[in-house]
Amino acid sequence: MSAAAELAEQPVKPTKPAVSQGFWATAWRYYRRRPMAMLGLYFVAFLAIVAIFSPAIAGTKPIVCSYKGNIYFPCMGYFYAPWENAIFTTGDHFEKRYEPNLKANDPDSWAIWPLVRQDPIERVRENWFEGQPGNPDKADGKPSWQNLMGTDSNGVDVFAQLVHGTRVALLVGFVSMGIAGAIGIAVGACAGYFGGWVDFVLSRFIEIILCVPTLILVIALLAIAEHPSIWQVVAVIGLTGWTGIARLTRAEFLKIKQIEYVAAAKAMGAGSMRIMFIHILRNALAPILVPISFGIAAAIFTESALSFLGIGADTLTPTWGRVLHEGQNNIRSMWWLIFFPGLAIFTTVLAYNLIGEGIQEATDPRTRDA
Amino acid sequence: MLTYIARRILIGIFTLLAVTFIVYGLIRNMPGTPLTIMQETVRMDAMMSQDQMDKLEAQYRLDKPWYVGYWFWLGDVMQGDLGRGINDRRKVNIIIGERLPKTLMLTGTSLILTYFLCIPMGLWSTANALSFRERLVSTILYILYALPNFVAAVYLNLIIAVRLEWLPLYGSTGEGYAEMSSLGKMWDIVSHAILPVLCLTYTSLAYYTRFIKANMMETIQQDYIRTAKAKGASPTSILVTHAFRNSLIPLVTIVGLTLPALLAGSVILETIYQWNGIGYLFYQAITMREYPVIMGLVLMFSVMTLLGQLLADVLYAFVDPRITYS
Repeated sequence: MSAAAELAEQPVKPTKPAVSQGFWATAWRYYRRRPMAMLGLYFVAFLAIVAIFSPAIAGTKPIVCSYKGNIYFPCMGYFYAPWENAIFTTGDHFEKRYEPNLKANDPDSWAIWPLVRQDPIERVRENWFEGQPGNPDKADGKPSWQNLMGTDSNGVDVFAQLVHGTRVALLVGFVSMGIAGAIGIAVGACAGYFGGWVDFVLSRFIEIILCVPTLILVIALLAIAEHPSIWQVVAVIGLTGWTGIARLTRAEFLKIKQIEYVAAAKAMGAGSMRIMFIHILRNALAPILVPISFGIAAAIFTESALSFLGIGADTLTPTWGRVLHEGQNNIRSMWWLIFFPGLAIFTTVLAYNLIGEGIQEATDPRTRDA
Repeated sequence: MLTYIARRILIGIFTLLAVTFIVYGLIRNMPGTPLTIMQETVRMDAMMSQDQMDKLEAQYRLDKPWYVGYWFWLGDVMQGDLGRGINDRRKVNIIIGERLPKTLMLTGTSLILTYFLCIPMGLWSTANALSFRERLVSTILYILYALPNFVAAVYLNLIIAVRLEWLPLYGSTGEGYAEMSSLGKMWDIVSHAILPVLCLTYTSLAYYTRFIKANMMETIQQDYIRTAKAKGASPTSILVTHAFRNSLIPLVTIVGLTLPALLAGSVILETIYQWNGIGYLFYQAITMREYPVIMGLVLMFSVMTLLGQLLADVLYAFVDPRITYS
């Protein structure tokens, strides 16, 4: 947002006394002034769009097709396998080769195809699409017009893997931090509000979790699942990443519960739950948001590090870390397996860090005007 | 103060018991035992007989439930015995002790580099605050801070080790290490360590520099700094003797927190560089289900974390007379 546009938005002279802006409106006003923080926000919005439209950007299943008189959306199968209409899989046995089968079984059929006809899990073969040769593999899979970011050693398109991996990156960030935020806020709020032995026990509990290095705890928990799905990875990252949030929430609650309005609420007969989660949490939320947004960056880091080490989610889910892992194994011959996923992980982690810092500075009155 | 430390140590012992109990339960419940994994990896003719298996199972108390096995492990630890590795039949403290110098070589060098560089850089940033050069440096540091170290490691490998072939790609010593002259040996080790140390250092360097600058910016707005300016002290003296001394206090707390990191090394970086340190050992121990080694390492990490926190709190009271623990 440029300074000129800012000025244009503000009325020159309000005709009647304006109602002062609320806390979040003020925070947003300050947040918007930070170009880097806004850049981070735009980037995450861009990723969200890529994630939502990933099956339309890259895929081998039509976005929309008409087949035997009905309209289908087979691309939804990329979100959740059973959403791919049964007629194409167990019914007419398309075996993922849509174009030739559509034409062969129903001459009147039509289809709208994704922008890039490449699959994130399987190698596209010669007879999948008319006029599109099969993917090269190993060191022959250099970036080309057919494979924008090259192919991996099995001949799977890297661009398609990265586009579909965006879903995992966003999911990991938001869901795992949702879990971590819920646990952290609940534990921290109880410890800070009740104090005494509750605080003692919960603080020791936090200390115990903190004592085990995160990556080690994650590896041990994932090893129990043997072949973890992406949801298990997300859950484990969430279950291990809440200690920072809990500590901060506790500190905020310790501070805020001393303020008179809490005593007033108590005097009016409000219950502990009401005071904790309606009265106090509201005022503690801004500082808690900061570790949550940094936590999203850390969660994405952890997930890609796990995939990179080869202990992340199963191979049915395309992730950025796994492409990088393969790049590391083929570092002497296939640079494109390193450059593109590395860039994706780096820019995403950077964007969340920028957002976190933006929130921190926009909600803290001491740094607002800097 | 002494009662405070004694109380903290008592609580710490309780925490240690809880941590080791939980971790023991976790690792014993991972699928597969060290013996089954060993059987999968060895050749047919080297397979153990059922009799041998039973013997080993009894020796490592794998025949007992995990909550019983834990008390046996604890009893041994109380007598100063961490047990023996299952594949590598040596004592656990020897296995760990052998890897420690390797990890310390990376983390120690990185820590020294970080402290030697971050203080002058932080002071320079404060002195040149808001100038174009300072903004440029801050932006670069910020970007470095967000750059995940394993991404940086593979990028650096790709450019420096593979394309330019300036430095070796992985390992801690090169081929024919035994025949090298002592100077050659030294260069060999240094050349293998440069990339991992670089990857280990840049994140903390960026973090500490920003930390120091943020603290300094707060300190130089204090009244006594204005007084120092008014009495005609030189800018350098104001920055170093007046302001920096007071922003040392928060820095001390971080020192305590680096203690566990010093020994834990980095699982990811040591795996990428196949550097035979503690992090790599931990990764191998988890995949091979080496229970005694994992437990020994977790015990070491937890003791270091708790000691680091205690050290930070004690140092805090030491450098800041306003804080007392009585």
